[in-house]
Amino acid sequence: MTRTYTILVAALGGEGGGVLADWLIEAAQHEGFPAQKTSIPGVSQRTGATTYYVEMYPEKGARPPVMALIPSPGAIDLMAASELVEAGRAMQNAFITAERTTLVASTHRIYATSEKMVPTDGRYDVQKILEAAPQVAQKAVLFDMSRLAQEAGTVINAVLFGAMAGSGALPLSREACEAAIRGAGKGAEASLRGFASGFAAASTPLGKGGGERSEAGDLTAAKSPPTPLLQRGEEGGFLQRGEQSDRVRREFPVALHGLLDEAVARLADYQDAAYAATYLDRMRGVLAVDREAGGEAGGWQLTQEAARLLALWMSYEDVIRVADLKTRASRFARVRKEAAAKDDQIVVVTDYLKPSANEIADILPPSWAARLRKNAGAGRAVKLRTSDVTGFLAMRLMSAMKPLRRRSSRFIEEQAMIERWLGAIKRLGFAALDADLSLEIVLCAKLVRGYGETWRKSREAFVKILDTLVENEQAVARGADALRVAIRKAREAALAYEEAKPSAATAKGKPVIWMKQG
Amino acid sequence: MERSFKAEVAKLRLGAGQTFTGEGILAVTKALLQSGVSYVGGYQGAPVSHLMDVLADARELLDELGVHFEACGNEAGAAAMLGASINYPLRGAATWKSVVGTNVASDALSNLSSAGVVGGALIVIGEDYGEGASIIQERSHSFAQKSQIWLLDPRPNLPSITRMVEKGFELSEASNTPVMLELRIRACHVHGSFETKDNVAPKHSRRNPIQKPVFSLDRIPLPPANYTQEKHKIGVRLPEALKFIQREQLNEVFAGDLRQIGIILQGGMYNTTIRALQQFGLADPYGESRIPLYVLNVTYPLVHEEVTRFCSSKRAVLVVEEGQPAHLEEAINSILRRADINDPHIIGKDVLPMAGEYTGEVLLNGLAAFLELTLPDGVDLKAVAAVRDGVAQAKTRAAELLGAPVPTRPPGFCIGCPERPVFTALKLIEKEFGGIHISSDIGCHTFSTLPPFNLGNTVLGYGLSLAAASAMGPNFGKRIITVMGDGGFWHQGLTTGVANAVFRNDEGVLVIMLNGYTSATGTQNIPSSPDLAARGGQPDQHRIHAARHRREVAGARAQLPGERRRRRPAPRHDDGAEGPQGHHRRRRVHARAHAPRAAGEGETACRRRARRAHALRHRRRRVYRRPRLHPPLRLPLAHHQGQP
Repeated sequence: MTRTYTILVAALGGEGGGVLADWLIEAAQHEGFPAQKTSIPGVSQRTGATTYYVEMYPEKGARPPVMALIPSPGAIDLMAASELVEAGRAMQNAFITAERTTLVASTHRIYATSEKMVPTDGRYDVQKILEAAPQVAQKAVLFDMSRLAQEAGTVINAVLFGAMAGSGALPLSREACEAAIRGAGKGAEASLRGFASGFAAASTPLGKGGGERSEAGDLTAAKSPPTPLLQRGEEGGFLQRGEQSDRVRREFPVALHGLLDEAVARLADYQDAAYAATYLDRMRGVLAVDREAGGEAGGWQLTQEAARLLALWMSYEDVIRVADLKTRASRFARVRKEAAAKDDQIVVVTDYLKPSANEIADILPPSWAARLRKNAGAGRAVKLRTSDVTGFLAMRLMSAMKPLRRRSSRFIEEQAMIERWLGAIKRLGFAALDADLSLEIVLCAKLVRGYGETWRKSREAFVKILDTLVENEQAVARGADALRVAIRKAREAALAYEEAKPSAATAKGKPVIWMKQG
Repeated sequence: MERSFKAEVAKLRLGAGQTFTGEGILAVTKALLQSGVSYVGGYQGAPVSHLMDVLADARELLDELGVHFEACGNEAGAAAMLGASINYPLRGAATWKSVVGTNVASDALSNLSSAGVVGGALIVIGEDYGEGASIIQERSHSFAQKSQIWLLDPRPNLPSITRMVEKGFELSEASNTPVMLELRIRACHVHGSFETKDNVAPKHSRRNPIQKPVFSLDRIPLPPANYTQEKHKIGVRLPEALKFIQREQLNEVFAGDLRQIGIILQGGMYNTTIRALQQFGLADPYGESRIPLYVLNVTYPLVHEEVTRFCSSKRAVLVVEEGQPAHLEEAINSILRRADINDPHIIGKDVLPMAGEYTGEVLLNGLAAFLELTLPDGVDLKAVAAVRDGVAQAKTRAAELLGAPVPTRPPGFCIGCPERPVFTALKLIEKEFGGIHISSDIGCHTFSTLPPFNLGNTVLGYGLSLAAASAMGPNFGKRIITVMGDGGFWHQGLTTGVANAVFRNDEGVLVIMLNGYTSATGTQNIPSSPDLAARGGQPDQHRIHAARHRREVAGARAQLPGERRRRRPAPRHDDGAEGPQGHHRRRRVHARAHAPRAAGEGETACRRRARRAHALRHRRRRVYRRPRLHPPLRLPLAHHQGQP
């Protein structure tokens, strides 16, 4: 006897899971199959994970059977997930079983709040899901549907629908599915494009095992930290390499060339060529430490990390930098693209800024800065139309202060701090000849991060590590191993710092102001 | 409401012999019209919002039939609306989310059920229980029992649901008692079809109003009538209801060959139970079960004769009853004991969980345990165990392979939600002042209690946050912050919270999330909804009526002697359809209290400051909308895609 065919769709809000369920029903009706769907809307509207459950009886013109409203574990024929962790959730709930379930899932990630809340890397290890998928499912079809949807200019549900049909598991013909999409009207063309690309991706046998398609490689890349961390945003129209690049070739081992080239370009763009040269001078010192400690065997790990962190540190973002980035042609082009503006349309870009007194003080000479900081307020919200002449000019004026940056209070402070850090690396590095210890000190530069409150707290922690451990004779006297462990512990604690619960001491009373009524 | 329900409204017009295809709650709406209701009211809330939304858009159809529809101020208002059926033969329906809505409505419900009804009164409750629920988990069943309102729990398919709507009205009229129709979330959203009938215009309605009032002291809940009413409930209404339920066969018995055992189940549990039986090979796709089933489409009251008949020759009977307390199981035990039938073991919450939703997995395990306990002849218990263990193994295997459980993904603020920065601000305040006590309310903003914000210490009900803070204020070292949405404000926050706090001269901070809709339930209109000019949508009829009425009254009043002196041109800006155009569009700026005067600032200076262009523009901000064209170039702006 024919069995009721069950489909469970796991999706997040805004991905069109409801529309997908509608299509399935339409397609089933097109085939003359009795079908039913249920959902728990509401939750889905608000970024939460939700499911849509569809049942159909694949027999033309059959009298309606009793169809369930709740998916039963072990009784799902087709499990579709619009995101990888949702596929993992389905496994966890036993909605994917080797006896009957075909899994069709997208491999892209949308991070959950709990993952994003971890100050360091809180991402779930999806490699496990990718490995488990072919083992728990009868058949697993996995690929990045989000990318295909983007390429087709549609929403992920169309690609997912295509993949479901293309997997061969759906008891519906391609014609019926396409007719269902067409019947829905709105945006049908784009949806059909998405459907076709999903169908093709799912039905093309690729890799091992027939129709099984798993782009595991895709994902390993997503999980491992993107190296190099210097992101060449569209903004960074980096200058041509030239002289500094030659210096990189001459003075540094091959393994470091790529990273240093990026860094040099970034810093030349940030300030000037001389600044980039300073960077290379500094890196030579680190390289010397690394060489002494036999870093060549380890692929110059110490220098690599230091190069990355130092480049980021030296190109810290201040008001000048922000103004510079916000007025680049490439930025306006990107905004236009994101707004999908046509050629004859005007895009108005409004930047919402809240420069605090501290940030203004950062770009002033030290003596002025001190005075301003003394009576710093909370800052003021500024709304600037960067696309207008006045707004643009204001921004450009700000960015034109680049040559003056070298005399700004923050610049002077940062350079001093960098020298202090480098000094510690060299001093302890040559003294202990322990590459691991040096690396721990280098990694402390990870604490140079963020802005506002995060920056302040992290900087405090950084200075504290220097004061109490790295530059503290007693701590150093306890030996390289103890010092290494202590530094790592302090660093990790500081990195994992969650927003501090305000201590009783900092909570200050506020006067009650009574307003006269009437 | 921003969304249009044109397609759904068309479905409400289907006539005899046609097939309706759509959602469960919409089918209920159609069945109401087929039953000849005179009026429908309710308060929005998942999963019954759709009923309200569609009817709000079906004004034309309702006008043709003469049906009065009203989005009530809250559930108590909706329940009180059913009072129209106490004295007059008007069929009426009300709807809300339960159990919370029933809580709010319970005052009116008690009075309604005590007085009894002449016209059929049906309450459609969306039982928000289990996965996807956003409220406390309680049963509406208890309310039905204590107020003696009959409770229908139909099998979750459209023909069954719509039949119970129609029979519900008949039952209500036959027994002079209001009737509740309980639909779970998934039943409300189930997509299916049923054969429709013609809509029936009510006997009495706006088109044919009742002319004579009916007065009967028996219907007033004062002594001695209140005592009589209670006796009438037991002596007359209950027997009449039981007679009707039996005569119309509202409950269903499905025979099976395993006669030694049986299952008594709530109608709403039918499909999940059948699925579990199918997985064990004890039922076919069409629901032919080998175990006899007694399906309670009416879960209150129970028909003693039917229960004893079903149970009498059995060894064991499983009661599938979701939620707690186990009213049905206890009642069935008591019925059998009183009838001196002691053979069948009544098994219910011993194999099924006391609390929580009865999902497929729960029923699978419960049913397996029941079969293993009762060992009926002709059932392959090994196969049953294999199915059950297969699921358990799949879970363990997945857990092993995954290593760590995947991160949960609870609902949160939508991307770009403007409520988010409000809580960011509160977070900053917390940083500055130390921990604060926040009294939260019901709405999207309740998500502030979840990570990453974790703001909000208590939630006491819709619109009750300010009332909930009233005892915290004097007993807490800092000021209490109360958050409320404008939905909650109008629901009952205004009276219970704000009015009383002002009256008592309370201290504290009330933050109202004024977005102009009840957003969490699907953006329905409330008194603070923005006016139509600002929304750019089609004007609501009642708003135009109201504006016209105001103008007429103002015009008439202006003719009165003594009023003439003070006459001013009638304000016209209320009317969204035909307000002043072009540069006349400026709103009249009403006088307001001046901004607080700074120290050393003279009175004139202060006035001048308040009169400055910026201040004026700020007050007139509604008029200053963004241009659709770039002013100097007259080219369209990109963020107005597709609009001229």
